[in-house]
Amino acid sequence: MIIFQNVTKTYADNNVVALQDATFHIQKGEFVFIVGPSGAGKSTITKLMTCEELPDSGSIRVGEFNISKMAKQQIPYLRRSMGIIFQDFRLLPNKTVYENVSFAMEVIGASKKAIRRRVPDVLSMVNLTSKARSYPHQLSGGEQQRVGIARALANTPHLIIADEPTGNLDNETAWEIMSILDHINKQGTTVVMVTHAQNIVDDMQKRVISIEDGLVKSDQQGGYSYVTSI
Amino acid sequence: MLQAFKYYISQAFSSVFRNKLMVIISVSTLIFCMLLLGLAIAFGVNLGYISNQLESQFEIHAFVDLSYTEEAARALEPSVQGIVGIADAKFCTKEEALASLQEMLDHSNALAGLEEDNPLQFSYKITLKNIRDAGSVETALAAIPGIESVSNRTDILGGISTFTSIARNISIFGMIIFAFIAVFIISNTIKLTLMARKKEIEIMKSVGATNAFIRSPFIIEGGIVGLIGGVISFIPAYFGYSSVVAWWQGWAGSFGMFDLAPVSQLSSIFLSVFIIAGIAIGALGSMLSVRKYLEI
Repeated sequence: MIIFQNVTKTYADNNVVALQDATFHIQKGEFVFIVGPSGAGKSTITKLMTCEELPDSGSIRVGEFNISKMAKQQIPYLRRSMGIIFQDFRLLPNKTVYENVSFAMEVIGASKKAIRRRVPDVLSMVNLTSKARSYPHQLSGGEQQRVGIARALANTPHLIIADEPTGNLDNETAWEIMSILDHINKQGTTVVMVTHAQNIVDDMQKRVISIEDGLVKSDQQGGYSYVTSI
Repeated sequence: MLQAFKYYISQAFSSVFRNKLMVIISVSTLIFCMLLLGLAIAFGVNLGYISNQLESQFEIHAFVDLSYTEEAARALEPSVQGIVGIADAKFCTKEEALASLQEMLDHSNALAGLEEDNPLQFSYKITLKNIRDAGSVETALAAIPGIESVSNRTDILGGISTFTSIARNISIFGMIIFAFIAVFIISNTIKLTLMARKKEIEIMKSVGATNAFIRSPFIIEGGIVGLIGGVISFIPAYFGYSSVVAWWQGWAGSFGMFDLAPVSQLSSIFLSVFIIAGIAIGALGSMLSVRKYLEI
């Protein structure tokens, strides 16, 4: 599903080595946490996966896309194969919950019929059917993030990339979000989640890739504390 | 495909309504630009139209020396006819010259009594195969012994051509400058729209909208602004030209001078050129800004 092979990325403007010779493989259907301190290079990994940044060396593969050799015109199609969830939700304030989700389908040219069929499905997956006509400012943080998840799911991606999805939420709401992500993963979708939340990583007992100073420090099954204690 | 097109159009229109002030500024600049373009078109079309009229009326008059008798004057005909480039040379008697002069003066009695002692000259009225030969034909005529003087309207023709072409060039120059300003202002209008919709565009990119899909509404928005500018410009251009033509007919018509190109001909040119040029300038302006500010 995802292959990082000796990937190095340096940001030209400040000469910071964000990722150094990183190698890991993520299989289809896995749930993987990417952890590490701020500035360790976690976000660089998601930016490389979505082709917002290109690696200096090494090769990256996501599904059928060879990112390091891909033509620019292919980028939109790469992104259609994944759903991205953001820490700050990134909802459009002037659109309703329903419209925020349908927007993701509209902009890739989905038919009206397909939109009418799919949007209620994903809204019920995240328990927001009753809020379809609400605007983001009428929702709690957790509800807003659920809209973000519904939007990420709208185009039936094989891969979900979640960048600190619980970062702005209280503990209880964070667990709500985690259980939705876990449920999505159990249905076969690969989930890659970047996070700081030690308690979540510990309790979920999934595969954890730990990054520090741009290097992959460890990559194993288990919790956050276990990884950092090595 | 149709779905996407509907989306582009609705986005473009709602954006035009959102940025009313910038749209008004863009449209006003466009109107300036279009009116100068209209001026250039009016001069250009009339240049051709007037030249055609003058060419069809064009004739050279070669006057025979006053001392010549009618017989001697008629004897010059073979030499006149022999000049290269002449289509026809018609001998004109003193009586005929007097009659046409009287006709020009509306049959007034100012010339009464001149029949007895006609002071006018015998002459030849010469038409040309091609108006470009006027100069060489005149020289050749003047060289014939017995031809006292040669007159024609090349000077008028030349004067009008020079004036209209200078005026046309000045308006084209002005139009180009205003077109640049219009492109610049429209690209700024679109830039504001882009800034206002930055978040939306980021989300579009993250879910995999293609560049064409993201850009199209903005380019259509520029085209709509251009279209509005073009259509509005037609109104002053139409009424302006109509009143110039009406004034010319009243003023110049009494002198039997040439006509201006008809309003119907000019107005269809104005409308089609304004619409096409407006859309082109608008779309170009937004393309520049989308290219510059929409790093995808």
